[in-house]
Amino acid sequence: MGNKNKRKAAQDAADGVPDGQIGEDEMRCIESLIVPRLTALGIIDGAISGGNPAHWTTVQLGGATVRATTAPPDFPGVTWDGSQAGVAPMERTISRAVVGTFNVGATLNSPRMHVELEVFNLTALVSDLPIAVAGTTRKGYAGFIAGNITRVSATTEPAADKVWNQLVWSAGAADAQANVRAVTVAVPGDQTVTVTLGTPAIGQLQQQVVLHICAWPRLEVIELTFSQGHVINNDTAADFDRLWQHGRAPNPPQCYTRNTAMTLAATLRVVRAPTDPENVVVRGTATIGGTAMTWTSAQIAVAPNAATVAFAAVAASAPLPNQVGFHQGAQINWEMSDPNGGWLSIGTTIHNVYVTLGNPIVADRVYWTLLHYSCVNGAGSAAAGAFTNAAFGTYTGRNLVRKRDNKPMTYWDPSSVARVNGNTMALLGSDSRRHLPGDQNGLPAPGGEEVAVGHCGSWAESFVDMLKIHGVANAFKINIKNQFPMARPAPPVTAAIMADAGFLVAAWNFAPPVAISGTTLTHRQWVTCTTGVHAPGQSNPTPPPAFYNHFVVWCTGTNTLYDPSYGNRFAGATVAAVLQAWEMHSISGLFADGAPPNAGYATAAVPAPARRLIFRYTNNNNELV
Amino acid sequence: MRRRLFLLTLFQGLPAMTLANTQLALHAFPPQPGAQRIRLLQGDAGVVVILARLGEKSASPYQPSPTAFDSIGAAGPAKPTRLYTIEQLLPGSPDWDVTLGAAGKPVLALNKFGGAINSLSVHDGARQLPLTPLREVDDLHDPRFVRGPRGAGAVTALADDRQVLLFQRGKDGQYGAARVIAEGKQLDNALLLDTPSGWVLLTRRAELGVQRGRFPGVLEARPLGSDFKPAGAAVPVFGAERIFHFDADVTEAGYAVVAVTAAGFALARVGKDQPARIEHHPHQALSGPASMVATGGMLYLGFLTPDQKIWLTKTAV
Repeated sequence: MGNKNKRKAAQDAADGVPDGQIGEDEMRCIESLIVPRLTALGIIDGAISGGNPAHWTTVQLGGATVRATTAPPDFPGVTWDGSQAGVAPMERTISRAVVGTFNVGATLNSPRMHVELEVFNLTALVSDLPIAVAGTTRKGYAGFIAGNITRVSATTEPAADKVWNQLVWSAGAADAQANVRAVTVAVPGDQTVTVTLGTPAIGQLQQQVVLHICAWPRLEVIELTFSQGHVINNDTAADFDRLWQHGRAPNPPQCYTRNTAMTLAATLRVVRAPTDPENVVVRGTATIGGTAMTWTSAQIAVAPNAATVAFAAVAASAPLPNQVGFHQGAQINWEMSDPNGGWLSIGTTIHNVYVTLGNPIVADRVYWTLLHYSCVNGAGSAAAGAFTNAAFGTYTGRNLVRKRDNKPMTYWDPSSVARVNGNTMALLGSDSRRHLPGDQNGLPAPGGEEVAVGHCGSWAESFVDMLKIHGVANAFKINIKNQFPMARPAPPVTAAIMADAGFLVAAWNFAPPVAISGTTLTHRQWVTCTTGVHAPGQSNPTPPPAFYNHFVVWCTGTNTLYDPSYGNRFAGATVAAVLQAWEMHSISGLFADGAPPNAGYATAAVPAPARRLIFRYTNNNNELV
Repeated sequence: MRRRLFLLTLFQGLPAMTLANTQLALHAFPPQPGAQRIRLLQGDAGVVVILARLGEKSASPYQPSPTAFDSIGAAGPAKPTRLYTIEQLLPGSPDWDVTLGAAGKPVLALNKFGGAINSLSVHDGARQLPLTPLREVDDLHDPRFVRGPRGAGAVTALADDRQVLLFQRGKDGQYGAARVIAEGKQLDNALLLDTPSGWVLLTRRAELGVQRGRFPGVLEARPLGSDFKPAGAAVPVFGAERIFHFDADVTEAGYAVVAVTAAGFALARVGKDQPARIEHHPHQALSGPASMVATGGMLYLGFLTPDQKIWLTKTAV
């Protein structure tokens, strides 16, 4: 027996096949020799199988090759469906040009065998950053992206987990859907996110997006320039500028007329530079005297290398309250636009704002002290008359201090009145020292308190000027001079008339009591007529008790006589009654230079209108009657 | 102009105290208590300093307050000679000026404090001559005797801060009606000079700014005609520099002005048709300058300091 027969006999023995009979294997072999058939069908390139040899996936790129295996091998006659002719006889090509599921079948004397090929596509990758830039680049701003996370979404065909699960991402973390990645974008800079579908072996589809993360500028107000208001003079030292400056202490006050809009411009420092040129809007909001107002800029371009940017002058959206006021510590809250359409707080500036009744009549003499007291005391006034009386409250406390340096402003401190302090400028500009107790020599005391000093002329003018600051021009400086002896002087005026007689202020002691006489002097000044209780003046409880003349203020708007030196106000039914009231309250007698008797006269005994004093306008020398 | 004084004092042997940082040697007198302002006069034998002094005690701060006027020989700390004691109703430092009268006696022009309106009068030791304002309500201050050969005791003064008034003496010795020779705003000083080239009115207008006894201001020289009306444009003597106090006197060539500035003092020598020659001398805390051209053509300068020292120096005209 040959070798073949020996192997056959051994196999039959192993299979339990009786000698001489045909086994199953032998039968199949025989059959194959007789009936060729398809033994396998599979994809040999261009697709991957997830483990199921009948199911393959690929990407929309080129084609895939299906190979049939036959028994006997490469037996011709396989019938194909769902494919195109391939390179080799037993191979077919499947196009991957179209997304879809493709079934490729083959038959050869047997039931149809098939493979299924799914073609996927990756069509887009997008970011949810708000601003589209060129190409796939999207822009956002660090710090202004919710959670510092942007979501990058891949678009596939089909849009299904089976595709998304094959995506390979270059960055980010898994999100709710497999086609979305959460990418952290906390700091400025560009990030490229890539998503890939496929493998190098079958080909890859890829999409990418550039995340352009920028720094949004941050600005800070470093200077405000106010305009359309009034320049305030720092009590003769210098004009205040119209600026508010960061870090400056104190910043100067500002002044506007009621019911007008505050206009301002701003310079802003670029605290954080943008990475790209940006446009922002800046606005300030304030509530002043109950009125809300806003200053809103136009678009302000901020370049990456800009150190400062400017906010051009703009008027407030609403005028100041229509009444006098002093708005101390008024806050303007500053904001700049943020990239999300909101507003970003960039600080607060604080201002002292004076609001006048009207426009100042003398624009270069808006002295701070007068402005301050009048606005504080006249706050709420909207009419000249009420304001005039309210503003005079400045003087009634007799405790003014010069705003420039908080020095008391005194009326006739005996040591300090040098030369002429006959106007407001001299009063506010003076520097002297208060008389020390016991110092009777009339010299400024080196150790005395520093004070600003003025006489009645300057105090009276200060009230006139105070009203002029508010546009009130109906107050006039009035000079009071006695007309002793009884006949009024006839022109020409002589110096002797000017200075040879005066009046005794407040209470003097007459011993014996002064006679009721309007015609003669009865006492000897300093001997039988001596000083009693002084009339307290401004920051001076004991001003001189006798003067040759005196200045007060007459206001035609209120028909009231104001005596700023002493803080007194006199009103009455008639002008004569007003003047009489001043006389009754302010003096106790008259005196004259020369030999005694040189003092006397009981004012209380002289009924109106038999006044012994002349009240005369200083601007035209006319008598006030 | 040569002014005479009955006090014969030689200017010699000045105390050897010299201020630093100045080109001119300034010599100090001992402190003069109560000194408020100085002027310089020349007598037959020398230069004297006239000073106003407050500090004489009265019975109470509110009784008439005396102002004393003393002279001190410029040669040094000789005992002052009392010239006048003038009472004021109100305490304070009056404006004043001094010149030599016909008899060689100092004559004062002086404020009389009245309250707010002050009057002026001239005191010659025998009489008190009133200077009458144009209006009763005019406050007269800053009296200055006109300097130069035709001064003749004439006085200028400011009416409020609006006008410069000229008071000239009549044949009766009385001062006649005031004449307005300049008007402006915030006028703070005026001094009329009779220079070789005609009348020159120096005026200073107070400007806002930090005071040094007075507000700062530009000093202007205004040429006036024989009728005391403007005869040319005003010229700023020290350019735009602000000064606080000044005094001036007439020289052979023109006039010389000394002024206290923020940095010290400045001296301007002005000749006919020539630009002013200006020197600056740094020194702080000077006030109350006085100047006088003495016999022989030397220019004497004097200052007062807050410690009431008087400082003198001299220089060529």
